[in-house]
Amino acid sequence: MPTYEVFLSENGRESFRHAGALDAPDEEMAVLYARETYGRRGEGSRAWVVARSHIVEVDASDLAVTATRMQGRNDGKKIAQRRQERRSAAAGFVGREVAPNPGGNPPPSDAGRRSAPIYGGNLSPNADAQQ
Amino acid sequence: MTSRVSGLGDDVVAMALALADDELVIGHRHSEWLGLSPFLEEDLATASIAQDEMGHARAIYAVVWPDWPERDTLVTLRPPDDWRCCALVEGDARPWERHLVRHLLYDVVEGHRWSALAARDPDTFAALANRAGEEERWHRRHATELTSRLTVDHQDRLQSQLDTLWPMVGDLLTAMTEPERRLAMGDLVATLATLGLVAPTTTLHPGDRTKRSAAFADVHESFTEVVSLDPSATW
Repeated sequence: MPTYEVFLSENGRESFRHAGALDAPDEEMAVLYARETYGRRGEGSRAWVVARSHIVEVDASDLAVTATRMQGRNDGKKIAQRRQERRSAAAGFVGREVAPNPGGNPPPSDAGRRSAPIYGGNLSPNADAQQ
Repeated sequence: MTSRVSGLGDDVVAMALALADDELVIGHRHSEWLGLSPFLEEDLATASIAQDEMGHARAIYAVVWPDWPERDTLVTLRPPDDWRCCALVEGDARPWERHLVRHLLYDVVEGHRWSALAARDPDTFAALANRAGEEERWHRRHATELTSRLTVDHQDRLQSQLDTLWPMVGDLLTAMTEPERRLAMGDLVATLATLGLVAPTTTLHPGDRTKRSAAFADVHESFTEVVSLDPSATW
């Protein structure tokens, strides 16, 4: 049986999102099963069903050519990592230098604190990327 | 049984109860196929249809018997003799192709049953029939589409199930007027023909719904199994 990918759009204005996949004998049955499998509780007001064989997959090597530039896609992990490092440094590890930060906001001063405030750091992705 | 709602005629109550009991029992029978369908999507569809049918039963019970303890008792503690379902839904439809043909026969006629009930008492049932009709339209489409895929290679097996089940189809016409019956049966025969199945020419009449088929004991025991552990318990 062919596999179909199901996409739903909730209110007709938002973009379609991938809901999941299903197996069906053909397109018409895939439409029926999409309703039961992914749309029974009003998850979408519109749906697309696309045969997986009709999807053109882009090779990974053609993707993510700018992945090293943090400002392009910042999911917060690197910022969290740097803040952790700064906190450790400020807590008094000897022999560890905090990198200078020309042009950007100064790093938060956590010196003297037992624990850093949760949102006390500089969360600007740009400033962080320049360090 | 008489309704708690004043103004609801005995004939309307009988018609509603026949539909509600059919819905509840076929819903239970459909649910027995959960996990056994030939592929997962069909499992989900079957379970969903089973839920819809039970929901319709509940909605009718709620209209006719609005007091909830009594409504629960209707399903759980009603003696077999007081049930008004028919032999077509009571049976254990095995093998799977019999279940499919039963689903087809039942759901093609069901839309007509809702229309007939709504026509008899629009104030009470029109809105409900409308809402149930939305789901029934889908059940019917599911049954016809799936059958049409299978008659290509297995017409003989499906036809043989149709021949077996056909005499029981007449019970679905309970309390319909003659024109309503002709409309429903005309639709059913034409639908079967488009699927490559030939409806037997036997003339069908609704049977006596006060009699239970031999299979009822089995399905009744199944859906009252838990409540029978302690019939006096408050849930």
